[in-house]
Amino acid sequence: MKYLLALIIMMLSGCIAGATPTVRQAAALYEKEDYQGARECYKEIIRQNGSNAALLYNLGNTYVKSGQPGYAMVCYQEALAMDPVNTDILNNIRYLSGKVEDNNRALLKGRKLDITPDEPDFMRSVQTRISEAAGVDTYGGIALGAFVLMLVGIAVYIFVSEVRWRKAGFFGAIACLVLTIMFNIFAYTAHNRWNNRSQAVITTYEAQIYPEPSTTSTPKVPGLKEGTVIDVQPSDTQKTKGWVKVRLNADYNGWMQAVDLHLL
Amino acid sequence: MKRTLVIISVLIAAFGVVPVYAQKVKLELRGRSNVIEPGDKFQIQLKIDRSIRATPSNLPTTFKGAKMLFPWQEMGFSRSRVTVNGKVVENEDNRIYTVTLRAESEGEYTFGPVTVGGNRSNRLTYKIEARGAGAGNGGFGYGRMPTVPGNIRQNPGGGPTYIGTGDNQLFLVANVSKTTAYQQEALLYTVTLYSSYSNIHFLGATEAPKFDGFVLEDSKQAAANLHIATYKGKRYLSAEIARYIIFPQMEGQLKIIGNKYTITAESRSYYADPDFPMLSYGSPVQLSVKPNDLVVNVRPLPQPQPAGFSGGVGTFAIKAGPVHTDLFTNQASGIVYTVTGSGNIKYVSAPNLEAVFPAQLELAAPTSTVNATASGGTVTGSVRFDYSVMPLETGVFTIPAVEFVYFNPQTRSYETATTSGYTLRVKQGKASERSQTKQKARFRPDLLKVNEPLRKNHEAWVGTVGYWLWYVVPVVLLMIAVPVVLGYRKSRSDLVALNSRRANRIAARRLKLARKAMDKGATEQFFTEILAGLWGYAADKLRMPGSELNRDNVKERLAAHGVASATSDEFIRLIDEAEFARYAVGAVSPQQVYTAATTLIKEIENSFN
Repeated sequence: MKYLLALIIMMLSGCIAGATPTVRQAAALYEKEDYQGARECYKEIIRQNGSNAALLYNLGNTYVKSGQPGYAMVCYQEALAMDPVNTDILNNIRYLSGKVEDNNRALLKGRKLDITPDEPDFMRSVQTRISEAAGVDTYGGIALGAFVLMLVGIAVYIFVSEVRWRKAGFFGAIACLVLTIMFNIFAYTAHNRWNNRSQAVITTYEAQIYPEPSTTSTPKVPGLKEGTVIDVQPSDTQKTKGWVKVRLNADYNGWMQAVDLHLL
Repeated sequence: MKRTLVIISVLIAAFGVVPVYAQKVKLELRGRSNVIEPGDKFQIQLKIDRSIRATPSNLPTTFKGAKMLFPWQEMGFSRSRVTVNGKVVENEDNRIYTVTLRAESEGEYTFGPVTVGGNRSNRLTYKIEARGAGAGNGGFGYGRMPTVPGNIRQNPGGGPTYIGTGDNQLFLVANVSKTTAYQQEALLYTVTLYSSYSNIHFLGATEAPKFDGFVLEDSKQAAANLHIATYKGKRYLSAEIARYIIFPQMEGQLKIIGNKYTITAESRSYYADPDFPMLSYGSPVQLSVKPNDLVVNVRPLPQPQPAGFSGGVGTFAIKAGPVHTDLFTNQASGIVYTVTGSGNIKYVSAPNLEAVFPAQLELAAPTSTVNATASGGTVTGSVRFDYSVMPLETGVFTIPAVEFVYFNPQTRSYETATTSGYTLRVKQGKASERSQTKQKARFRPDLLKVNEPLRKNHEAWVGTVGYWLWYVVPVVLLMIAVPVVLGYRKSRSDLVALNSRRANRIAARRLKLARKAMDKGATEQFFTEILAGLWGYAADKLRMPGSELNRDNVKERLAAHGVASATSDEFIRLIDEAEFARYAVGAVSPQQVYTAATTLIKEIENSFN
């Protein structure tokens, strides 16, 4: 019944399940301002064929257009993980974050609370810089190239009899080894950033932070609007099923209901 | 004279004796009207004129609609005299008997007549009714003093006699303005105190009421002044002690559980005293009281909700402004929309300006300032939405009317309040302003081209087996290459040694005759053989007939075969030397020439290719 309904909705919106919709169909619906139709198309494509950064970005745009900043932020963040240097993705994330921050500020109704996320510590900002400067595989490729160059240096050292060349090969090989290790660390850092993000996006209209993992406790701060990216902290999941320990800053931290969040 | 009559009449009325006509035996209700509330105590008096000596006997002890609490007792005497123009018109001197009864069941009843000493009394009619008509006048409740029972005689010693306490009831009544309401509709919840204690000293809530499914607006107008109010026909000291305006948030049967109050009241003990009409003194009593729980039946707002519904339930109006109509690019300016009205004003959402504002004017989410107070049964006031607008381009922009859709519970329909539109003129602002304003990212609505293949698995290539294989393969290749290359090198260096040996052999063969001549000491022959050997070697090596050979082409050809020019120059020089030495015997040592020739041939052999 649910599927039938979905089918009807998709047929109405020009996007037919079963037959794989094409990216072009989705884009055409988007141009016609049928954002819901475009969204369903993209979702169907992802379900059947998988995704990439551009497709997720486009899906994010349909969410923005249909007024769902929460899921838009999820799409953009996932797209960014696949293509961290894409300026379009970064721009729309910045745009959406600004909007969400405005919305959160409006909820304060004049209360003096901080709604900007914690400044990242040194290690974390380094990690962010590295991960947003290039993709994981780019770092991996550079590391691999340096490794091959190192082998070339070793070969020169071994095979060439002339002292000048041998010296160049030896020191070149050492330098390339350093580069290999360094770029592998970069690749690992970036990989860690995108794959163990310990962040979540609020996907319900407005979510409350409770001081205890229970709805009987009274929230001390106003809620946060959908689209807010919030840090997830480790907690004893056995005891607090359905609750997530979160932190935005010193004012906003506590427990959120897992249904309000999409873990990245 | 007339005045005297009035005064006396008033006095008589005050004593509760209404002289209708002189009757020897009379039945009366004591001190009250003849309408009695069920549960109330009342007394029937039997007045017997002094002239009748007989003592009443066999007075009835059953009363219709009432139960006897105290049997007939002789209470004492009463005298009254009415004088008109110095003439006594009425002179009463009665013995009084009283019976105390409690009203039981409603109805109108007649008691009597009774006969005392042959005199019949009147019939007494009394009415027992739920709503006491005489609430304000002698109604039971606050201010009621205990009746001095007839069997308590004044103390012979003249000291006061304890006769009981007052009515002493205290209760809280919770009320809600509507028991059936719409979601988000403002409701008034009040708690009223009713007390028949003589005073209230302290009142404090030990906990807040539990409003499940409501948000509440604590009203500060809870009156603390005690006043006398009538509740169910009884008089009480009363005060509204709590007042909340509540907004139901969900549909269904929502319960309001009353909170507990700690109240210190003054309980008064009364004493009868012969010298004073009534003695009493108060002592505090601590009570813990809870009002009744309530249930509100909450209905959802009618569906479908119109587009742009603000969430407001009540009656509202919206107005735009004050607005600065002249703006400058890149200079933030404020735009205000104010919603006024009554209802859930604190919970209305801001009008969606982004839908109507042109894209050239960048809007920030509004900050809202609520100025609302709870009054009457609802919250009235205004909420001001301050938008910050940042024009990005110059031009004239028409801002259309903004609609504010709310639900009016009175008309049970959705209504729309509309502002007037206005025009904004944006002029070029100072360029320096740009640096001061934080550049906000603008939404890029264009879709990206989906060029790369779609993948379901987004695991990074780094760290996979394939990635590490790229490390392993070159290492393995190098490890294979090193022994191969070094082995080849070794074999080639062997070849060099071989070539060197071969060159030695060739040189030795070519210069064999010259060596023989040198050994024999035939110098001239030696040089001839040296020359023949060198020329022959060159001819063989360059594969040219000896006749075509000369110094120039030998040098040229040798150079073409990779022999260094120094070596070929030396070769020519040696030939010249040998030719010279052939004719100038003794000028050059044959041994030196021979060694030089051998070395040269070896050099050429090694570098020739």
